[in-house]
Amino acid sequence: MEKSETERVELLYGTLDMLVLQTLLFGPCHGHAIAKHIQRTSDEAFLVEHGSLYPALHRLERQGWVTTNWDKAPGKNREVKYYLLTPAGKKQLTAQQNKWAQLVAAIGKVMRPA
Amino acid sequence: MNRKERDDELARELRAHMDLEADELREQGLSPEEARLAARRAFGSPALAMDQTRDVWAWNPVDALSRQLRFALRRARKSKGFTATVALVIALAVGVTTAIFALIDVAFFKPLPYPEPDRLAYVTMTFNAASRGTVEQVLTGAQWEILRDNAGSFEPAVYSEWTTGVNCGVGDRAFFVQQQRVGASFFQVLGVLPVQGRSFSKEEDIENGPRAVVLSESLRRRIYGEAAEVIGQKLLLRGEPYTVVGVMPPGFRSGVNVDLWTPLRASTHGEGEGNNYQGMLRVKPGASLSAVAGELDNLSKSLPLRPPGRDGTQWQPRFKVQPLLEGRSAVVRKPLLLLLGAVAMVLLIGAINVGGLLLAKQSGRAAELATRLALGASRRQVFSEVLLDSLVLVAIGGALAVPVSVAALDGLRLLNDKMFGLVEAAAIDGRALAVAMACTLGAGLIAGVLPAWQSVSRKRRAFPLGLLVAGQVALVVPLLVGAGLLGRSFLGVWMMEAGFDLNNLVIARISLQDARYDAPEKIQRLFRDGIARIREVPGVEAAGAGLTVPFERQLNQGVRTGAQPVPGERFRTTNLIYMTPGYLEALRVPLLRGRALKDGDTAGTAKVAVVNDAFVRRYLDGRDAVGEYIRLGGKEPVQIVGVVGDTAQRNFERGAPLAPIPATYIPVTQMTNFALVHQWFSPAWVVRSQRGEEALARELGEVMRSLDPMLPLSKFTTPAGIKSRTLGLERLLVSLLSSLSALGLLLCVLGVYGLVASAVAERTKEIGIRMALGATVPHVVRKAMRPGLLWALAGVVAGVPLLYLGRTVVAGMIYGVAPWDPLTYAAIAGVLLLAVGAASLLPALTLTRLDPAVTLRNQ
Repeated sequence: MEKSETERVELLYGTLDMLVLQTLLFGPCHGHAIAKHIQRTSDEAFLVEHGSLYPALHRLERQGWVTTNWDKAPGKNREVKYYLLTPAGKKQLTAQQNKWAQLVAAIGKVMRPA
Repeated sequence: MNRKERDDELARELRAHMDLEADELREQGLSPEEARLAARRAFGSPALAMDQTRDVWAWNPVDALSRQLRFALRRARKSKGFTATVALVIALAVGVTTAIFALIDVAFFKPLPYPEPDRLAYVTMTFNAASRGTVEQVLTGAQWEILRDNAGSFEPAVYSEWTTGVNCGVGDRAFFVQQQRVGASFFQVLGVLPVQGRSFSKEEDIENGPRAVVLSESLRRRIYGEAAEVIGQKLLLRGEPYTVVGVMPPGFRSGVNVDLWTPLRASTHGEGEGNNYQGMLRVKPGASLSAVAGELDNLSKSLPLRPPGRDGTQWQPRFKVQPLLEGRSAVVRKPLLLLLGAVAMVLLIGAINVGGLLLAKQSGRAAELATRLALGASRRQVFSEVLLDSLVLVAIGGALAVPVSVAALDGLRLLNDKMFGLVEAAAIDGRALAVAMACTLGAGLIAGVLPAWQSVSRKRRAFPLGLLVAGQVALVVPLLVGAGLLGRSFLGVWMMEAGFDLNNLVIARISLQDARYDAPEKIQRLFRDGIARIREVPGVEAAGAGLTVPFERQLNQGVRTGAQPVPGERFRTTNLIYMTPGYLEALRVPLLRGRALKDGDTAGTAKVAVVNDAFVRRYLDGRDAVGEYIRLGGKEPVQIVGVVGDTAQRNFERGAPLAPIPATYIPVTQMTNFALVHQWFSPAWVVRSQRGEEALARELGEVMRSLDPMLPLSKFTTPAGIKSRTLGLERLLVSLLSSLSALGLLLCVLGVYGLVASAVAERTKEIGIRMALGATVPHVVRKAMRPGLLWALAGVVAGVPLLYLGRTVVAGMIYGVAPWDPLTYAAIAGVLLLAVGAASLLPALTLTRLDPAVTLRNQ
């Protein structure tokens, strides 16, 4: 299952925020789970560096796109910090998705001219 | 959430993350210990993650700044000596700048403490001749009456600027008070009326009117304590009864320190003949100052013309009106601007000097900063950090500048008690503090920008420190020239031929502003008996009395030459001194021609006078004047019986403050009108003796007491003391300016020293090798000194254009010295060369102790 280093893709600058927001669309989540989710859904293409994840999470919090609360992790006797998407965060995600789609389309046109 | 809480929460969050990871690994079958280690490995550096996350929150600029500030303060604390040096330079430079600004503020900007001060104006007379420029004078009685009788859109007032110390008797108590004489409308025009009673009535303001006095609040309290009603109280001023008619509100100032006011009683004769009245006006509501100026211009056309001068010069009289603040501070404005320029130079030199220090210090941190830049710190971050470091050091100096400025202002108070009330009114207030802050910030930016810029510069080339040294030298050059020219001019006046023998001479004064001495006979008897007794005191070689002595202000008297009036004859002014026989002999003023005044010249004999050489030169074409006649005040002719040498006297006209001025000496026995003269002057008793001043004072005091126990003798003064008081403003200016340029020069010397010392320290190894290869000690020392000398020379060259600036500013303030006086410039070049040479030589001399063998071994 583990991909070799060469198969991994560098996260495009600025896309991590979008991936985190997208992950939170399915419900509140803590940092560990978010990282695992992104890794898993990208078929391990992305390795989320903790040195990038936590700044990203806190950046989203500062901008008011997510809120946080401490809660028990399910089935465990541990308190973890959960991140929840706010309405502003949802709007931001839509905006980023649109931009992303445009970007992909544009790059696609350049790379594979019809 | 504050930073600490946020940090704790973040740490908790990261720990939980690793715990969850470990849980997962344990579920996959790892032992708890293995799982913990693996989770930790997978996470990477939690410290780095924390740091980067923290940066997200450090967006708050206040937060970031306060953190940087703490670092900067910690660094400042770590190198105490360096911090102290920087702070000292800045504290001195900013402190003196602030003190001078406080004076400037009073003289130029602060509104006068009266209602609607911008409606107040000062009135003088100017006389203009196309070929000779403009002369400005205060008003005569006749001019004041023209102003008074033609007041249209303004309300005029007249007053005397001179205050006199007089004895004020209340019951059996006596107070020494400062009196000012003001016209009836004075308080009304200023816009401040007495809180008790009233101001002077018109009847009180004419000759022989009722004697009325207005008290200051502080004098009222001193005399009457808490007594409620003081209006109508009687008190004695110089022996005459006065009635208190008013009390001014607390804190009221009429420009000078005054305890009580009496009516001026302006007239067209006596003092009204001369320029003795200050004119002032308040613009009426609805009118403007320029409208009033226009009105006065029209009025000027009706002024009588003076007869043309011998060379045909026709002076055009004109009323000049200017804002009161400007008129009152006119005398000190130029000196203050000069001082401001000087302190600005010193401030700039100080800032550049500190810039050099910081630059040298910063190069010690170069490796650390380069590492941080390599590790990803942004240039902006490093730049702002280094700049902040500098600003913090400079700000410490700025804080210390406040006590320095207060002390400097106190020092000015001590140095000069009569800067026209200016220093008293000056204070380190909010405005001065704002200026201090602005100066500090400016100096900090100037000093800090270079090291900050260098720390992030991509080219790692060192900024040439020598350029800073050159800049400082360039700035100090005009400072030295200004101070040098002014100092030499002052020295010329100070060392000027006095015209009499200053040594072993003491002067005592007695105030004759006393109702008991109203008749000439009484005054004359007092002088005759007094001098006779004083001459009997053992050790007294000579004694005499006169109205005034050289070096001080004299009585101005109009004079015409010739026995009979001639149409179109010229009206001249002379200093008039009445004297007892022996007065000029006691002073040792030489008799040049004719005879001295003697006991035989009495009220009954022919009127005679002695004039000085300047009188003969200027008014009598230098001919042998003995036997000629003059008319004093246009009255009966007086025959000149002798000519004596010139003495240095206070000069209020253009030119040096001390000058040989035409003077006329008359016998006290032939003087008749004493009352007015004694209001202005306390006559002087001149005693020549080898004995100590104290013993002499005691015995002279006893002599005077035996004559009249109610006439206290003043403290003794010496001619030198009178001279330094007369030249107080000039001396103050010269001493301030020379201290400032000394400070500037010291900073330059430190800069040169630092430049050479750092170059020597950097190149010790290289120089050691050179010496091992055969270079001699003198050779390497010369080489090491070279940058100091060369950069200083470059500074001098760059300073030459600035020279014009310094020269222009002092041009109108120097006497007897050409603005291009070669001696001054040579002396300054010498001092500069010596200072820079020594500053370069000293650090270079350490090379003489360099042992090439040791240097090579250390390679």
